[in-house]
Amino acid sequence: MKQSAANPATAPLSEPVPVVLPSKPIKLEIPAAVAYVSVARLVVGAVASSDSRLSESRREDLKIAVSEACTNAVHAAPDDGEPHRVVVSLEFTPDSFVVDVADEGGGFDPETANDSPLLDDEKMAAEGGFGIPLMRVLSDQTEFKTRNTGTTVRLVFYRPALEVD
Amino acid sequence: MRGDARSERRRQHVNDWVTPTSSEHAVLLDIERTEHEGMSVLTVLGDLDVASAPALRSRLIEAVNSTKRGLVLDLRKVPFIDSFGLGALISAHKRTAAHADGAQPLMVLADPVGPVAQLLRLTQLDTILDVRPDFETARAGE
Repeated sequence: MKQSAANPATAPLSEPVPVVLPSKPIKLEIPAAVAYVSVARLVVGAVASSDSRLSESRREDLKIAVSEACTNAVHAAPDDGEPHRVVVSLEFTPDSFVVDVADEGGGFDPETANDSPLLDDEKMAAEGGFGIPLMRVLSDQTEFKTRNTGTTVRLVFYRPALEVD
Repeated sequence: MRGDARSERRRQHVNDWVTPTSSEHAVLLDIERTEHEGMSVLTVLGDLDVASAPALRSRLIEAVNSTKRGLVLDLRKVPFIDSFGLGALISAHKRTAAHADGAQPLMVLADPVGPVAQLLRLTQLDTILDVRPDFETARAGE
């Protein structure tokens, strides 16, 4: 059978395939319960894996940081018997992968955790408290915005230019 | 007798279904305990996060309180850990430190891989917890 160049199945393999990253924000809404933190982590990791400029180790950092942010957001939800949500927004910009995690809590002062080291006696005693320090260390930028409707954590991961051999 | 062993293991696995209080969903974290020449080996399969860490925490405490020689936590099949997973490890470490008579390391973390090894290094918990790169050596209590 004669091969046709127009048939994608028989097109030459050497032609570059343009990969179009999602340029519009993606929103994922999960119930504010611990069982859904893994869902957020897996979805964010999967979206990030479509970007070859985020290395595998950066994607692992991203998954930990997102997990910590979602865990805090779940715990921030008011314990009032009403169903609450955590909204995770993802966006690729030319230079960064930006993840916003928004809760419906009463807000908190992230400055209190600003200079906390990754490991100290307080964390050993509390058997926890690594969340915010880990987000700060693992991401390229971490920002907190608190309003009376809740807190949004922004995690920014730079997308380094691909190295060409 | 083989059947009994299998059903015992099955019962243990069923016990590891964690039902989060705030959700109708259950998260499966597979934790199997075996004994090897007096060493208790806890083999964990799955992510250690806020949903699953409480199950590990309670199984670790139970193992620390009942082991003869020591405890090996087999981390070879744990692809992910977060701050709550680390908290469970610290909790068990503190209990072993309280029991330790200096003769044996009472809890050894065996062969953490990829992101888990990296997070232990990053948090410097690898300087406090007894982390061994090789499972067989850890299990032999060497």
